[in-house]
Amino acid sequence: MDDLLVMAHGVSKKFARRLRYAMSYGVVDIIRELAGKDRGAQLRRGEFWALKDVSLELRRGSGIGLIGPNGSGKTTFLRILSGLIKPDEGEALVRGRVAPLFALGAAFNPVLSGRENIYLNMAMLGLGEREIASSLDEVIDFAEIGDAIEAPLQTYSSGMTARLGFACAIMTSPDVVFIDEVLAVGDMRFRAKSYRKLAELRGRGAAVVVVSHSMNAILSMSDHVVYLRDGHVAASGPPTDVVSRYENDMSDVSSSISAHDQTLRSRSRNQAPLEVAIREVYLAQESGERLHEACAGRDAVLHVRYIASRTVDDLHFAVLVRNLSHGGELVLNLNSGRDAQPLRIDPGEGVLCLHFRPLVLGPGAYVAKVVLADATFYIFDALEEFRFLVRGEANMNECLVFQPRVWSARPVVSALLDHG
Amino acid sequence: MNERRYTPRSELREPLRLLCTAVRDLKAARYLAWRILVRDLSARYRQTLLGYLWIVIPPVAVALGMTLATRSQILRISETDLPYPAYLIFSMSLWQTFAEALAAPPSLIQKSRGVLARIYFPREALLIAGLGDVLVNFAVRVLLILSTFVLFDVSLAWGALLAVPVAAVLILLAYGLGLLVAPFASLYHDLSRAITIGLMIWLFFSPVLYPVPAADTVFGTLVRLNPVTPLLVTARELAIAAPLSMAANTALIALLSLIALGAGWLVCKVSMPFVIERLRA
Repeated sequence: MDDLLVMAHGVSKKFARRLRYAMSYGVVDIIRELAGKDRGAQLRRGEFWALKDVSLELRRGSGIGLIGPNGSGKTTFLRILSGLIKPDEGEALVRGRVAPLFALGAAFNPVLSGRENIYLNMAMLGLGEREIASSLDEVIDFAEIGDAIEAPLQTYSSGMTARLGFACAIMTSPDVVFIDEVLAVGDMRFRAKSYRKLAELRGRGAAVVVVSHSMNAILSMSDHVVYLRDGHVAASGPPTDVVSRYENDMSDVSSSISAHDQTLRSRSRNQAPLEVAIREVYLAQESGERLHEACAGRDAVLHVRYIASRTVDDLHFAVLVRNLSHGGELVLNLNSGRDAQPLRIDPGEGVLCLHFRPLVLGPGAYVAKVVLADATFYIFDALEEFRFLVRGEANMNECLVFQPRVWSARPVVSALLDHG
Repeated sequence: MNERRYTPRSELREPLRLLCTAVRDLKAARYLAWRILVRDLSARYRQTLLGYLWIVIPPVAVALGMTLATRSQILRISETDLPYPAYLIFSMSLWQTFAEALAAPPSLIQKSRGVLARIYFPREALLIAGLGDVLVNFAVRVLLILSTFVLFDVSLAWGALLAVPVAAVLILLAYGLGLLVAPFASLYHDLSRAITIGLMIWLFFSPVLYPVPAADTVFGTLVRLNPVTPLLVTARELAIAAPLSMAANTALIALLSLIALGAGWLVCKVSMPFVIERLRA
């Protein structure tokens, strides 16, 4: 039990969205507290649970990741663990010195020198004068401030200020580190240094609670991930499992805007009959079985059912795919004509197929534009929006595309010979 | 290892534990309070020409204005036990310190909301530093008072040092009251405005610009009921070694000021998480 550093048991917190309620409840809460009465666990008018029944345990040297969409309660939870606000239900326990890496340089004063600011900031993080004096050089060194340490902070670049804030917080030899989207401080090199320092602290037994929207950061720093949604724990467990669950949920959200099975064309009768018309677009397996959603790294076939009134010798079948999860960025622009594979079709109904072997698109929501044209780019017909989803496997966290791959290792023969 | 436990329970239900954490926090706050005080003192006047002169300019300006007004017979003030300009400098310096001390806690919370909402540190440090700031300003004004007394040939005996504890009571009373309202003023900013206006009205009913009026008028009664009156009067009487006219009241108010300080500190400590919950950094 001794190595338990952070414990939360059934922690809940309620907030009122409207300022008017928030303020008057504030006065009521203070008066109740002063009267020695506990706050009720019931929601009052205008209140909602910003955090409901969250539990976790964090031991020496381990890391917990908190993920979830904006407003899911991650930061509120960190604020409770930091002792900034009190929980409305449950209990939280924190042992040892805490380094809140989400409040970098909050205590900085622009007209004071870098040195004065180090003293002030580190005193605020709980260090005494002697402790600060002994780690002063290390902080200046880590932050790469150099001689500028005697200059007022307002003459520093934003990078220098951020580095100094980070160095102050990390050099307090903390037992528990709280990170809230913060290692994006400084340039690449400094970031790498920060991660190394953090790893070193963990090696010495510090525990980490990290809140981030970067799944990369979450996966690299945590042994356990808690996924919060609307203040509730939606999932909690091994990082890769919880992160994929979260990523799948996120792509669901973006696709729910429109149903993806709405592919059947309905044409108004008074339109002129087309020489080649698209009837239906859908995804299927090679076996022909239709897919509700595609899977990254597996084979898939895009089917375009058409009806033609004449023979076309060099039909250009074009597919443009945009990633809806990434702001509609164009990710594929495929054209059978450009691939020197013009297709020949005869009058009547038929199916055009685009075989993805395998489908390399990463998990997310996509929209495809399907165009049928001839060599002069005379467009017979086009379907503007065919929406589809791609599901990811557990090992696709943070991957934009599926990379077919094989790993191996072997010694270099010549190197062996050199040593021999 | 230092351990902190956060529960929804009211801290007042376990007074013993509250006392323990209070003592621990106070001890932990000492060095930080010093750093904050150093920051505030060295930062405040760093981009100014007149620097610390700003502390003494208001009483001097008021003294000049009031003296000119009485000389031109527009205002008639009854005889004071000190030369009138010295009387004004002395009383205004004390009054300004009182007003500053009263307004300090709410404005401290407001000014430091960014740090308060983001870092946990013993909040006492902020409040102690604020008190230290008031004391430094007061010390500068004491220099002003001394030079005025020399200028107007007011004789000073060692007994004048006894005025210092009375001034301390004045400061503690104000600071205690400030602490009592600070959390509520942080929630409802109306209170901060009310404090500014209230202090102006309070000044009217305090013997700062005039001596204590006779008790047989409504105004005189009000001035005598004012808790600041005995403190101002006793401090002055001690400074010039005059017989004490309000000693009993001063003792009573000294007791009240200690209660106000204790209660204010408790209210501030207990209510801080609720205030911070509603502060947007």
